[in-house]
Amino acid sequence: MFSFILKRVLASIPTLLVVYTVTFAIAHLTPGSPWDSASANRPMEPAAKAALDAKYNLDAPLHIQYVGYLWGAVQGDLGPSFRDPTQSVTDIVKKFLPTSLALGSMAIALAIVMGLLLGVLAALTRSRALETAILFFCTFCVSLPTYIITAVLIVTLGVGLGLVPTFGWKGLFSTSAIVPVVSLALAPMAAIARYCRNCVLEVMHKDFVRSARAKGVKRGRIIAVHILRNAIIPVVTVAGSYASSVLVGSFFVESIAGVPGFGRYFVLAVSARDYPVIIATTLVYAVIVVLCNLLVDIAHFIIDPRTREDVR
Amino acid sequence: MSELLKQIGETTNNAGARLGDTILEARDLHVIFGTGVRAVDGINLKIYRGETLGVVGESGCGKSTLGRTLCMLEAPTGGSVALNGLPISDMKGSSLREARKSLQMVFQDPYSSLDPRQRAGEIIGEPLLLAGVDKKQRQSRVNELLDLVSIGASGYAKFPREFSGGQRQRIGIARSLAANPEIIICDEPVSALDVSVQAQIVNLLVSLQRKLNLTYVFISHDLAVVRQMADRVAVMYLGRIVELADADKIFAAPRHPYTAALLSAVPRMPTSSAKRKPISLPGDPPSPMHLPPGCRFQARCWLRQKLGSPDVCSAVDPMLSGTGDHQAACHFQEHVDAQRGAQNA
Amino acid sequence: MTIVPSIQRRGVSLLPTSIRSKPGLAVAIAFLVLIVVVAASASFLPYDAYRQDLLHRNSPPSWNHILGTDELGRDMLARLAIGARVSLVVAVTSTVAAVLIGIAVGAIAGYKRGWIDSVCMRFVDSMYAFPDTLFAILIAGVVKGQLSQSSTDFFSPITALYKMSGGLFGVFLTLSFTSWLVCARIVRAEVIILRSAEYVAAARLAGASDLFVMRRHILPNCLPVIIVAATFVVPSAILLEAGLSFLGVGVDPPTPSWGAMIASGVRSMQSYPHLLITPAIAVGLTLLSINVVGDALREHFDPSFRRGGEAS
Repeated sequence: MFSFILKRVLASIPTLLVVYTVTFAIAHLTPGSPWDSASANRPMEPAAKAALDAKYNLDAPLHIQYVGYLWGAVQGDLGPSFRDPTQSVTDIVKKFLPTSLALGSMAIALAIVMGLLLGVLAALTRSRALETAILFFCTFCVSLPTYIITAVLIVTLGVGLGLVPTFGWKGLFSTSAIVPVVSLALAPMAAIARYCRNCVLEVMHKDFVRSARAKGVKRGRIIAVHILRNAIIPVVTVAGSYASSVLVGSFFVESIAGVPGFGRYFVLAVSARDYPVIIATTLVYAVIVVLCNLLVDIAHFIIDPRTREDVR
Repeated sequence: MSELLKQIGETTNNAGARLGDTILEARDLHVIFGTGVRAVDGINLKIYRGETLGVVGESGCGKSTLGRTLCMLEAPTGGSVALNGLPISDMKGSSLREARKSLQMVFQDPYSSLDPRQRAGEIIGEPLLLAGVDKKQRQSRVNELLDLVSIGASGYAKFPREFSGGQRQRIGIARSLAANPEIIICDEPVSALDVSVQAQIVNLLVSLQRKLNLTYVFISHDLAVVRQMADRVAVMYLGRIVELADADKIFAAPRHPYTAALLSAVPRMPTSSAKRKPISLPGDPPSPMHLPPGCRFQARCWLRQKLGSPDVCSAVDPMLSGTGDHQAACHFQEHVDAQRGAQNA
Repeated sequence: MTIVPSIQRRGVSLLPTSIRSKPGLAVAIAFLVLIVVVAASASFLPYDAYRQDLLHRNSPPSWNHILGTDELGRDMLARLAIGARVSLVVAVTSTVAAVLIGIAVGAIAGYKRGWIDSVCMRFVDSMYAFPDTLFAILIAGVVKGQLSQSSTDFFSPITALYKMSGGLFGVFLTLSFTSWLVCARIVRAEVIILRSAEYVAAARLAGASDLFVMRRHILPNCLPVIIVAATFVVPSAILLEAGLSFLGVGVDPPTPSWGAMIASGVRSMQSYPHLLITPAIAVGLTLLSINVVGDALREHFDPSFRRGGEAS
């Protein structure tokens, strides 16, 4: 188990390096210096520009910047923010990431619970109409962009019914969290429900379930012991693949609902060409994606004994 | 070692004296996969013009890999293959494609061996297309071939899915004949077919051999079919040839305990003179990644048990030896036939 | 060349029966046809999408303006129609480009294997650590920055194209560059299976070169999975285009695009909900229809999807 985790962790290092390199290249391909956009109407003195470049090490050759930034990042120093010189990027991550993570975890938990329920219900119900309705609802949720869901929820629940605030954030356990959590949860919920239904249907026709049924094992027990345990594996994979993007918070949901999260900050940073923030956000994202994949692998390792043989 | 190899070379030469010249020769052929599996582990083999060499063995013994390596579909990791004296294992690219034209293959699976998106005529005509034959000649040649394998010209425009398994195999055979090959490697050509269809395909192969003077390497796990087809038989076990002899000799009096066990498993007519109890082999073959020292068959060898587990079996890896037309890789090959008789006493 | 007839044959035999058994599919196809017709006939509508009428701003649906007018008094139906053209053209062209890139990379990696395969797939896997929206935003930022600047070097024809298309070309580049990953993966997996097919061995024995095998046997047999890949790429391209325009890094104003219309709808959703609802419904229904059609295509072409239609 330990060597398995160690191997996966080591294998993710090149991935992170590629992500860093690509992001670094993209950030520095953007023409113009960050100081241009900060004050577009009155161009900065060349001397002041040079001083700023020197201060933030932007006058160094690219490969020095590349290594230098990476070295800092490994030690937890993500550099200064150009847009807001009063705080470092590490501060910004510390300030905005927890909100997004809390929001995301809540959403993914909701998605898993509801997805499993809907999926099992769709697979086991004897009502054709209910099954069709659930499946259609799922296709619907997968199809709709999150920003439309958010906007529609705000218009109906907030503007129309006045149940939730239309903008702003008062913490995870307030009515202001309802819209962002639900908007983030719907797409993964639908995906989980669809996978879960397919798996349950598939498992139900496997020989061991048939023989259990033939032996007279009760329906509830068959579902709990045989079907769900086998259906959970792909559900974990789907949940994992969605978790990373949901956990860091959606740019759209946070922007529309006014959640002071990481995703919203990223959008602001892109338009301000705030290199360190862009690179840092991307790296944080990549680390979270890699961590989620790792968790999925470990979950597989625990749930499904067959995958253990792959570990040589 | 090299002494021994030379000797083997000479003796097989003697054995083949009554047949034609050597058309295909493998020398010390090795195929080791990336996973460490030794699929082909040192095979020396000569195939003579006009003969049918049967290759038999359990699934996983490397017989299919041997077939694919003989026509360089699989690159050997050691040793060489020569076709009509040309070292095709040293060739690459277009020179290999040119040199190998007289060598074709008939495959096991009549479903995956034909491209589902092409019509029978296009499939059979592909070798001709590649040889640069123009369209008109190609069509007439394909129709000839369709007649030759008893499909008929009506099959030209049909897709593989419109044919039965046996008909598909006929199309595969027609394709292999298109380029006028001298030698055809048949990799389990009938094992995916119904028994009734098997006989038809075997008969077709035999009659084609006579008509076109073909040489066959006939790979199969089915001893009954091999007995019907083959002039000589090579028995493979874990990547090695453990017995190589004329077909009638090997079936009458095997000289390797493994061959004896295989033969005893073939169902016979009750009228057959020698009624024998099947010899069962305990366990599975050892992993081809971790072979024991000594004879690779020792753990499952009934003869070794009978002889009281002599040390030589676990110490010395036996090489092919024996008289020219009958060789076996067993330290006690003279005892095999007698002991298998005693098995039932 | 041999591909086209066989696909048509399959298509013709497939569609009528599937439609008859699935009313939802028929509705979805009808809706997509409607959208295409509306997009194609946008120029014949009574109002011009760009003409402002400041006396009738934000007016609700009426007989004059069936879908109302926006905050500058422009006809919503006309803008929606032009927006459909923008979205569809960008989605389809970038899907074609992404599929071509994916085929090239996937086919070479899957056929050659060895170090080329390792390098390509290592890269593709690493790119998966970027959430696609984030990557698209990054690329779009660079493309926009790079192309909107008047440059004299070899970029100038591209810059001209970019300006002529109202930013559309930038979105096209972004989408093609972010969507090829999934296609490369799918094609590679299929090529690895197909290259070991016995008919490929037979062709090689008959003297076929790699190129011949690829053209005549492997690529035609990849067609079903390529279609499956495209059914994933098209909706995500529409989604991404709308998302980029929503964030302001996509199509430039005043070119109408569904995403930009939703963005301005969100800004005034509290007072004029129709400005949000109309484009939201258009995007939602289009994506829903494409997904329904995509499910049907996947079910038909990919046996592993056959049971129940698991997807997205």
